[in-house]
Amino acid sequence: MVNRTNELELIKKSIEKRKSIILLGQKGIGKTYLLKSIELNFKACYIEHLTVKNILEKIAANLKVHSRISLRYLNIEELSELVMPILKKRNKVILLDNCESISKPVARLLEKLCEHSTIIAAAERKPWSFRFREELMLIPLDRNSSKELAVKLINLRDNFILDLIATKSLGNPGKICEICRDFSLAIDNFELDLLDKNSIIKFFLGIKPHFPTRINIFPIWLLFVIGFGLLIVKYFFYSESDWNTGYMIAAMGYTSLIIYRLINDKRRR
Amino acid sequence: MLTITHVLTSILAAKLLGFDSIWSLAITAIFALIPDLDQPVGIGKLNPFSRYIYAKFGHRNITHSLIFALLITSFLAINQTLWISALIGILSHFASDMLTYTGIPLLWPIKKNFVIFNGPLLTGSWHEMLIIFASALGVILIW
Repeated sequence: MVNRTNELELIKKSIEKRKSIILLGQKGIGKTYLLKSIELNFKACYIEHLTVKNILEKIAANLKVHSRISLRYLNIEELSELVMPILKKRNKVILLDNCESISKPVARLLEKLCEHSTIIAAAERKPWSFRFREELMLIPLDRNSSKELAVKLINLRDNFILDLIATKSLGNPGKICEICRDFSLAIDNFELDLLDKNSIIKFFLGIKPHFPTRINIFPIWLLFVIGFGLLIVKYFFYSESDWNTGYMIAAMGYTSLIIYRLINDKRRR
Repeated sequence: MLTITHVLTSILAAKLLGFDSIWSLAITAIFALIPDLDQPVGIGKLNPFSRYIYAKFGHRNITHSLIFALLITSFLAINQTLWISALIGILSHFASDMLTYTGIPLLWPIKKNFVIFNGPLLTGSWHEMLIIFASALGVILIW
């Protein structure tokens, strides 16, 4: 659902050059989603739990290695003897998820694997024990893409709701999915009325992160005070009473603003 | 706010404050765009670190604060005219961003967003188009 074509092209290039790459980004940004799409495109080997035995087992299963006994009962040495010769012959793409911490034995194994295959890892932060050759930072979606994703998920084109979703999610696709799921559930359970804006605002106020506190440093009434104050000063102290075009425009502007405020206040009541 | 809005409002502000030389107006326009280098869209594409800043801090954070405005313009302090025109550019950017609903964290690292006139605008809305039209008209009339 999320458009990540630029990132996919960069990853394809690094696969062609056999360079190991790490995808970095906050939780819910779409790292695992990207890895899964690579798994489908390249028939890659996806590994979630990073232990030496598990990695070798998964690669062996992905390569469809023949052994007399089940792979589960083989030890690490036997597994590496089975896997390494086949890996030398062909470039295999290995995908590692949740790579925040890599133990030293796993790091040693990854160094060996790097020689013959391409490793693509995903993590929230870089692991200290293993150095990947390239880094790719996944960034949050922009406002329009967030709205497009929300439209696909909730089938609503109300700009007010889409704006709130885009603001609350901070462009994080995982967060957008979460908010949209909760929103659809609330509508299905009759907790939300789409015609009542107050109930919608209440629903979004409950979602973290809360909106930052807004401080209005220049309220609109101050504009009237300053404007009329300047006019009075000019009239009494400088005795200039000619009403030229500028004053007329300013007066019209003030009047229209007052009318606008009055109409808005009536609506609120 | 859009890039064109920032350019037009900053030039209008500089013109209204009596800056006529082409150099000071150019500096005003350039410095009006600098705070938006924190996101990898529009003018931010020129900044190689914008992706990193956007991922780490998000849009409208440190680059929309008074500390940043003073720091980034400090190297122009040798020439007072240029320094003031650069400050006008950045501050006009802040002022137009403070018109939007979200506001800006002017006193960063204090996490409070400041708005003016209660933040009535949304970026890219017809209200903003009206501001673009009005400021373009103002620039043409004053020039």
